[in-house]
Amino acid sequence: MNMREITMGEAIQEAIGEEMRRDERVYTIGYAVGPHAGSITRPLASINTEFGPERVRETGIIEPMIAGSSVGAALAGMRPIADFSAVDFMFPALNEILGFGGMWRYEHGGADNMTIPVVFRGAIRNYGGLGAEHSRAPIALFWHAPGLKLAIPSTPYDAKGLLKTAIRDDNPVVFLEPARLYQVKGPVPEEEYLVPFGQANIRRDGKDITIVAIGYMVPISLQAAESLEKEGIQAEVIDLRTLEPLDLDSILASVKKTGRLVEVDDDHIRCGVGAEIAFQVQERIFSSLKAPMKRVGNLNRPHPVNQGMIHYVMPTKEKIVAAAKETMA
Amino acid sequence: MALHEEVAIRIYRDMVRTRALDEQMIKNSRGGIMRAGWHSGLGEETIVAPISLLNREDYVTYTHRGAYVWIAKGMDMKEIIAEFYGKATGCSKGKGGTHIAKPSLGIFGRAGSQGGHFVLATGMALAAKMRGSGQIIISCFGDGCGTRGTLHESMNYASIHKLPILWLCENNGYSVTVSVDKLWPIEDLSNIAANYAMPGKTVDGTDVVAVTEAAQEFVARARRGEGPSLLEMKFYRWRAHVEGTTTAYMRKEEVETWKKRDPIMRFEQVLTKQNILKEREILKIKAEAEAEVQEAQRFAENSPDPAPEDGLDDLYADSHT
Repeated sequence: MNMREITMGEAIQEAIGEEMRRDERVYTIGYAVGPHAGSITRPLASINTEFGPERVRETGIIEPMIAGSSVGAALAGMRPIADFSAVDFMFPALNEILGFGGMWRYEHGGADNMTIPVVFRGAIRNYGGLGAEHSRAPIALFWHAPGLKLAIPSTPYDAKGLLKTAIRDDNPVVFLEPARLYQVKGPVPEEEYLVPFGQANIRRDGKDITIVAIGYMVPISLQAAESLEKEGIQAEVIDLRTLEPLDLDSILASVKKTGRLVEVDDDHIRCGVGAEIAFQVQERIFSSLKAPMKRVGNLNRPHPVNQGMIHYVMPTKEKIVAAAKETMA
Repeated sequence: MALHEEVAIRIYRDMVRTRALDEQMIKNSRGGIMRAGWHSGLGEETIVAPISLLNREDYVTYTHRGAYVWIAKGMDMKEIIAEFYGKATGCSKGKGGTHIAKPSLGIFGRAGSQGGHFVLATGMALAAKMRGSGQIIISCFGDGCGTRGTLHESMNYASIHKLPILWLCENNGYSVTVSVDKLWPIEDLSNIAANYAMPGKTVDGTDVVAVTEAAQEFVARARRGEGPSLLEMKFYRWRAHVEGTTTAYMRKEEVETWKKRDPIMRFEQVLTKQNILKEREILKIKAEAEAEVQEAQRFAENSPDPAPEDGLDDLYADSHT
């Protein structure tokens, strides 16, 4: 494949453009998708030029309508991409996302084999100065809810490939984008490709400890692994890429090898992603564990603004290193 | 009367069928094995009329009082009663109960939170418009959920984009136990239509002819691509919000007054006066409806339960990829 370096924002824009070109049922709707929404906040400038306002639908600040009309249109045969410029703005629409998106098919017994092919895109905008209601990472919330698929890319390659898969999926997909990675470049093929759901990516091999991470925590975990290497600890870093479906096999295979697990994500620790993963691991391979598993995440607080406080309550490279060393001790 | 004879008879028949089903479900609510709650729509059967103007491929969303919609849109009573019984033969395979769905008839299901339908309906209408399919949607809502914010979001968006929707307000006087005068500062709820630059009309909801004529105009408008409209039907909920709950907040004389304006009885008078139906034809329609309900009831009672492990099915659809 012919590779070139593009940002995650550009990769997402390419994915949406390609899928809209491929399938006229695909459209996007939201209040930050328009031609003036800007490439810094949302990567959609060229999409506007190419497809116009009928398929790039600007709205008012009406989250339930954005999410709910997308479910309705999906039931009626379209393939909408509901755009939330911050995942926080999905909260006014949780009834529509969790209730209509996630539960509708089951609730109606899959009557006439109904499908709800909708993607709910939301940017995770933490670690900045945006305050509690613009900095959430509600990963576990969407994983907890039945009926949704859940993808979170950490590279431009995965962002494009996973989003294309999400758009082609016949189920509702929550697609969370780490905004801090929008401007980060990475290799992306010129040719078309898809990244399948349910396949974790082992980003770094190691024999001593397994670090499971998702989204923005993947590059931070890779930095932590580099630090650990200097101290003679070989960490394996697994990027889950999707939580539903979850590639548990890759986690189990790694932990069987290392006997140690540190889970890292930027959502709240309590009832979180790490709790679920650690529980599933101990249920299956308890005897392979050499040490208690550790979680690194948000300390059950809303997101503050002051940088010192942010780094106190949120995961950092240093906290991951410390957790790994505790596990090795 | 602007009603074609054939249409008038179909509306009358479906109103009678709806009532027969409703009365059976009221009986089924008194003990027995029916699990799902029944929200009776006795006295509101006029809703059949606007729905009967739709084609098979047109869409509807309905409230928890949805029997008129299911019947007028062509569903089989068997899969409705069976669904309320939680049977494998129900339209939602025993997972839905009050969540009745038949996508092949444009019935995609019911939101458990009232007023959830506004946004779903807007999306269905948007799909129809983007495809240029000519389909339209009737989205039913009550006076209670009409106070929700989703109404504003949806009516506003639908008007801006001229989406093919008839917003059909079923004003039956009560939102659960709260009377409509405590919920709205205006008398005629159709007055809000002007705020969204769409036509609105309030009609006597017990007058089938008036309702049909108004609905015909708005349905035609939607089909012409001229956008949404709002039709309010004023009538009365004869029974409790859901069977088995109190009616202490409803005044006795109020109920009696409205029962004298029974929409089925009033329509019968119109039809017999105009010689569209004779007395014996009316009796025949009623007998047929009753027989249909009894057959559907037996079907539901004799239907198998779903296998317990089927409780894991139907969450996700098979994917393309």
